[in-house]
Amino acid sequence: MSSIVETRNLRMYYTVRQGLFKTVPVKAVDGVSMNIKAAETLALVGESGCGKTSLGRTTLRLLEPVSGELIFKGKDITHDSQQSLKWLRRDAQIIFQDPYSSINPYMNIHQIMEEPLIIHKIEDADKRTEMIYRALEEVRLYPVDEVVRKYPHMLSGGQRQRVTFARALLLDPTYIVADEPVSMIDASSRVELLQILSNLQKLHNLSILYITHDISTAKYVSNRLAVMYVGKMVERGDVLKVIGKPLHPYTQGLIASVPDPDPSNRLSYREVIPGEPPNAINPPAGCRFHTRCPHVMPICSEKEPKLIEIEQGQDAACFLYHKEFVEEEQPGDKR
Amino acid sequence: MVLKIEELHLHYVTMRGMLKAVDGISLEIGSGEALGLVGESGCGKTSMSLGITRLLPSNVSEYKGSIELEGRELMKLSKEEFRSDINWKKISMVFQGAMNSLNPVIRVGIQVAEPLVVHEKMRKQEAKERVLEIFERVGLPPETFDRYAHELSGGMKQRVVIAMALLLNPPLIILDEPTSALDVSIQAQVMNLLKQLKKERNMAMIFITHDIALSSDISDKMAVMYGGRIVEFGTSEQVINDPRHPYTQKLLASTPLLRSYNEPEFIPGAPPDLVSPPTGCNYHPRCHMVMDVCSRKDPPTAYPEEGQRVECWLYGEENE
Ligand SMILES: Nc1ncnc2c1ncn2[C@@H]1O[C@H](COP(=O)(O)OP(=O)(O)O)[C@@H](O)[C@H]1O
Ligand SMILES: Nc1ncnc2c1ncn2[C@@H]1O[C@H](COP(=O)(O)OP(=O)(O)O)[C@@H](O)[C@H]1O
Ligand SMILES: [Mg+2]
Ligand SMILES: [Mg+2]
Repeated sequence: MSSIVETRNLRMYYTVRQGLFKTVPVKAVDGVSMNIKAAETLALVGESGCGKTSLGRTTLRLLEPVSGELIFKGKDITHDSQQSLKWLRRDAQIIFQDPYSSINPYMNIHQIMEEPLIIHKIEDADKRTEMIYRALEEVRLYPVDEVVRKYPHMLSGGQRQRVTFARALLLDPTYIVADEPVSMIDASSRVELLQILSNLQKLHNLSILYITHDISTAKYVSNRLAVMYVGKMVERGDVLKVIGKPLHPYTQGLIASVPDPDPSNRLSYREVIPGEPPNAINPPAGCRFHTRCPHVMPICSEKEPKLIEIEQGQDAACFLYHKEFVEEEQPGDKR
Repeated sequence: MVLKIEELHLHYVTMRGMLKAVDGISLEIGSGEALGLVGESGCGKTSMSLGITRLLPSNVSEYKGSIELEGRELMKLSKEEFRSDINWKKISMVFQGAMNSLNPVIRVGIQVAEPLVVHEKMRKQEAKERVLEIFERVGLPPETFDRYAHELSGGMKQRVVIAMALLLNPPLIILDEPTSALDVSIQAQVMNLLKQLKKERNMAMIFITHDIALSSDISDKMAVMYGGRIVEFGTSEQVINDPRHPYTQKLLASTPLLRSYNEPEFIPGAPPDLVSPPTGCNYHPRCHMVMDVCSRKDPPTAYPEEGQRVECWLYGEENE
């Protein structure tokens, strides 16, 4: 299967002030190579601040990489001008955590849905209406002719998020970044939204980057799972393999931290990852997880383990499984 | 019995009319027991805890029922008595989002020590020693005393507000979504801390969350709340392994599982508008087991098994 989106050693740094005159880089995405195949959902999990949003937005060139390559449908678009990327604004879409942040509260649903169609020059008003109705039906917002007249505040959080799904799909994109799309939605409707997302994915052969901090939802919408820790990808593979038998100690700790409903949980302590994640300004040398890892070895603070295949369809960056490390390099700013 | 609540009501005045956030709830908690209060946002969990601690918003229109703490009726106490005898000493509360409302310009140690100095008239040095002792219990290094909130991570701030609640060693502590702003690895650390404190101090707690899986990590008993009422109450074993109320059943079925496979279901529709709730059972418009009577009459309380309580027509005598 061919890749829709591919990154090679991609880095994206923010610059923040430290004191009065000094600026330092925040290495939000620090050398990530990954790919998302056609009609595939890749779940990206990790704790807040590990760089999920930054990576997702960089794959859309909404944030500019400092080095590495970004390939979209086989074409290197790392250095294309924003001017020449108008097609990408149509072919790739983003869905945010908070539906309110991306829809105008003073417009009704019809107007909200129509906006991107006008921007992308769909001239015929009847055609636009037809597209809007079809999209709203696909996200099961019935009865459509009532829904289009409503304003965002008249809908529940889950319904509003369905409007943003429908709007993202209007222009028939190939790639969608869904950044924590159900995190603010009530538990009872979360599953419904995830089902809608899965159905849309199949219906339109979408490639989706599903960003979440909730590893248990990843299982239901994605084919593969990637785990990030402080700007790096530490494990990835078939979602059931990674959840069933995580290889990286960080993934193991992350999974052990999440309870399933079970009354015997209360009878024992949970195995936890000690300490807190380091910051992305001064990440630990070598493997970034070595400061919290229960299996730490001398090499872990010296070299950075490479992300390589350990079992069929499952990669990990950990010296417990291999001895390959990343060569040191100082990325220059290629912009 | 540490706490026994009967028919607690708490209503708000709103622009649209009276909102019944807590609409006649009853529950009991034994000493050293953790009660998990679970339900979707807006079902009245926070309002219930404000009712128990009598920290009422100004637009409360109706506040009645019985709250017995260690055998003493709290509803009969004056405002002053409640403030001096109950708050912090007998019941303390960790508010939803409290870790983000620590005062940014006062050192956290001083903030924690404040009730000791103000209410207990303790000398400053003594108060500081007491705070450092509690800090150690919740896993905070002594340097934390002199830090400002912004210098602490989310996990540390949450430990600070837990320390505050433990200060006067109350028999009951209410924790309102104490981990919802934390990452899962930090959440697991905080849950372990709560388990440890519960064991060491024989402290009863009400642990509020919208996440039934998380609730099972600490709760001995569970109360499932829907639309201002407790629709099911029982031991955690009863509620999770043998749920009786259709809402509890669906809530569990809609929870994605990490360690085994289920095809999660969802509950169609939305929670009730508490200004104009449905007639009869609040849940009937979404219920997969709905019967005729459900929309006509309030559901009866049934006791299918020892310790188990459920408000549902499926178990009622007038079951038609
Ligand atoms: N606009 C910004 N300016 C500076 N630093 C930022 C900015 N946005 C995010 N960061 C930092 O970049 C890192 C990655 O953040 P983010 O991509 O948002 O992580 P996630 O989505 O996994 O929570 C964090 O250390 C965060 O503090
Ligand atoms: N001070 C208030 N005035 C009016 N309505 C309120 C007030 N506080 C909460 N509510 C409403 O009461 C209901 C229950 O809210 P709350 O107790 O916060 O629920 P939960 O904690 O379960 O999310 C909601 O409908 C909420 O909008
Ligand atoms: Mg993010
Ligand atoms: Mg609340």
